[in-house]
Amino acid sequence: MKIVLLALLCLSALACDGGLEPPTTAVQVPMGTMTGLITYHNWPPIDSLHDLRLVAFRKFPPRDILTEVLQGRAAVHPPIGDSALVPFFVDSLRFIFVLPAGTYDYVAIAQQYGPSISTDWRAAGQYDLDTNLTIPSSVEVIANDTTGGVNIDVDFNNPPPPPFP
Amino acid sequence: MRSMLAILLVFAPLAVAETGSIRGLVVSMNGEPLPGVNVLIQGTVRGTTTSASGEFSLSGISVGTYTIVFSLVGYQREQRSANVKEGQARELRVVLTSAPIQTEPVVVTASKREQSLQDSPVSMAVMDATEIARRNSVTIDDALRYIPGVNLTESQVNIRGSSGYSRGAGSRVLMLVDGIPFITGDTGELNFETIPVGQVERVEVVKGASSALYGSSALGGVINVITKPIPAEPATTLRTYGGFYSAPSFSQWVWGGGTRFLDGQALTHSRTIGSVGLMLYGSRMADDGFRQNDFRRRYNGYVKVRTPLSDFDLFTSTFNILHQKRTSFLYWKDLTHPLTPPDVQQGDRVESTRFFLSSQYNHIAGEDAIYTVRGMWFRTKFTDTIGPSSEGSRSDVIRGEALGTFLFDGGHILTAGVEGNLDRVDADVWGTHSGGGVAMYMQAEYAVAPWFKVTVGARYDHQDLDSLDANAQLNPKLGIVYNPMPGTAVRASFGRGFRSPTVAEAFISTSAGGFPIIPNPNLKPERSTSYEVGMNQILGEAAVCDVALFQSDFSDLIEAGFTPNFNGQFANVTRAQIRGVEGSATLGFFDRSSVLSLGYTYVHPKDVTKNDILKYRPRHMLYAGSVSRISDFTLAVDFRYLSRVERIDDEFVTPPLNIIKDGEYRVDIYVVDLRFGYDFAPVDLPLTATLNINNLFQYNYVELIGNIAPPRSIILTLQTSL
Repeated sequence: MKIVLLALLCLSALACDGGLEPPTTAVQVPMGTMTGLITYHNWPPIDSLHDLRLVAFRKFPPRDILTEVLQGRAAVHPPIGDSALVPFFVDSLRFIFVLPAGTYDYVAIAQQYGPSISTDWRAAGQYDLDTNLTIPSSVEVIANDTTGGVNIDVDFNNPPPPPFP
Repeated sequence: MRSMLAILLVFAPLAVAETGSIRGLVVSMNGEPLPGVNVLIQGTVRGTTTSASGEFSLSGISVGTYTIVFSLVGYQREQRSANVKEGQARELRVVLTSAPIQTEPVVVTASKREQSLQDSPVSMAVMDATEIARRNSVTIDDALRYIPGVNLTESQVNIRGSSGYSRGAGSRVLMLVDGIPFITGDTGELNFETIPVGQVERVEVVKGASSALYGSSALGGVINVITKPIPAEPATTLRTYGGFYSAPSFSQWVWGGGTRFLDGQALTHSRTIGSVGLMLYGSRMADDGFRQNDFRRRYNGYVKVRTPLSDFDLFTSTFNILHQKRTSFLYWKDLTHPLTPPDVQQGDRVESTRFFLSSQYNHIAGEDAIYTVRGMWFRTKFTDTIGPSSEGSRSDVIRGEALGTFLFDGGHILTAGVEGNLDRVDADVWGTHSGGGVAMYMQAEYAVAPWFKVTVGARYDHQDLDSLDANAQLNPKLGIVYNPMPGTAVRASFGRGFRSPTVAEAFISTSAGGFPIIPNPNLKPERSTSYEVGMNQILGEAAVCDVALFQSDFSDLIEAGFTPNFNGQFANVTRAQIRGVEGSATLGFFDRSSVLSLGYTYVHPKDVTKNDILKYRPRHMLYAGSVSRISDFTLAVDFRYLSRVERIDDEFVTPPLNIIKDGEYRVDIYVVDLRFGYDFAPVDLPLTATLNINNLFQYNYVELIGNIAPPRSIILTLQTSL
């Protein structure tokens, strides 16, 4: 009996360990901020607006949104697990996008037009400083700094060329 | 032949030609009368309970010699022989010896009739009202956490690895209240909150597939909540508790809510008016919650009316209503802020009302047959403000059952019955659907010899739910019990189980975390086959132990998951096999003033389809508890260990969904609860006080990913009875 009680006492001592605790930040990824204005034209019907996100891709052309995000080569605003979407049916929207510092070759508004989250995406607008829509402009995000003027014009009736294969 | 359903057995004296009566007094060792003692005539369906003055009377007993069994929780069982003569009253005076351990409790769930635990061919556990009260359980599921082989993921019960976590939709464990199924019509979940915990006499848990008697949902086991009988004398009990949660363990976790309190009150009054017994119960509870946006308020009312129509006919009705307002805390913001929900969940509310109406009629036909007819209506209704718009649901379940239990010479018993159910659901998230089913079952218990019993049974179910394919099930069972010597029972059993899909699983259509959840009109029932061998050994008056080896094979398991397009959906996706071993022991020591309980369960829950371990199942569960009584003080300690859940839904915690940030953080669970109690009876106060310190060492853990368990809470409970 004494052995049993002693064993239980030892096991109970494990409860003093504390268990879960706040995670320690192992590697601090330097973050920067991108700001700008999105201007919308010709909103489509709601049944083709399953989701709308601002996506910054490291390289152009990207493979597809999910693969790029999964492999850490793209940042999404609002985050993809967040049910808050970019608002629909507004004329324009100012955004503040906090993301890892670095160069982003392609910044676009991605529209999920169908029910499939893996395939039903297209670019509805992209950041571009000139009229050559085949090669978008890149954005440099500096650590602990803000890169402004990332303005994107979205015309749902006249989207840029599809970047996804 | 063991005794029969005690709930049926409170009948008034009757003087009939060629019959006699048995009456008497039951007292404790110090001569105090003992109320509530079960008095049962072995080998018949007759019995009663003692009054507040310890007296009992059984009349209309056919002439002959009988064995009378006396049992009461906390006392050793006693047997007396009585020779009943025509027109005479046989008088007995019985002294019960106190015992901290009930080595051979009486159960009713394994065979739909009362029997000794050692006569059950399947593994069972019993938790009585004393244990439930000692743990200051606000809901029954709090108490279930200490039954060997049982663990809970939030409020979802898992018996020996049968269930993982299905987000409240569907349960592989069937819950009964006084033998009547008590699951909601929409989600098919167990509804612990609606049970008036202060009115629970005991909880019985059957471990293993039990569909051969209980049909759908009894895939992994059965929980039967037995409510208290109505005492003959007027009684009023007031119970009140209040307490608070300790501050978070880390400064980063403080969210600004200050000290969080919880409190509750329950008032019970029972009396007998004429021959009609009446019990009224009302309770309220308020819990601020230890997390932000995590409060709940609950009001519960319960009425039980027992009407003896004759000496052999009894009509019992119960009505139960619950109203609850609570918030909805789905998961944490992250482990740096585990007590705070994501911003989008702030302000989510759920308001629900549930009521349950049941009636039961019992007829005792002589000394060798009981007939029971019962019915129930269970309505659940809720509205929530989760998501972009308010959603609501209303479900109704109506059930009926008729059964008979027949005794034959030689101790053979036959139980047979028919059941039917009608369900209707009207909800924003899963639409309007209706369904129903019929079933019939039969079970024969054959006493090959006094030391060897065989149980054979089967149940046929036909279930039809809206547009799903109708399904028919035949579920057999076989069990044997071998008693090589007094106090030793070796058991072996085989049983099949099944569970029909619930409305929620088949027809849900909503979105969560920005992703759609789509219906699956092709869902099929899931099935299981359970095998078990075990042994129960009583060691004198102060020890009992039990060991079991078990295996369950599951097919077409319904699991929540994601389609290739990342749509959430319930589907028949998995074949599984769960093997394991379980051992438990209860020991009295220090002259039986202290009791030690131990239970260990190992399960290997294998996902055969994916050759991986099943999700949300711990492999190791170890429970230990000790209760010591020193004079009028009680000191109790409970320890609970569950190994880290090895597999979860990775989609929730990894990109691209990554819905629950830091959801991969989980640890082994080590929890210690401590209780002090004092009985003021020696100073002539009808008052008991209990101080509970739950999670004494403030161990931080999760049962469900993204949901940290409560920190230390300190609760004082006062109870007075008039």
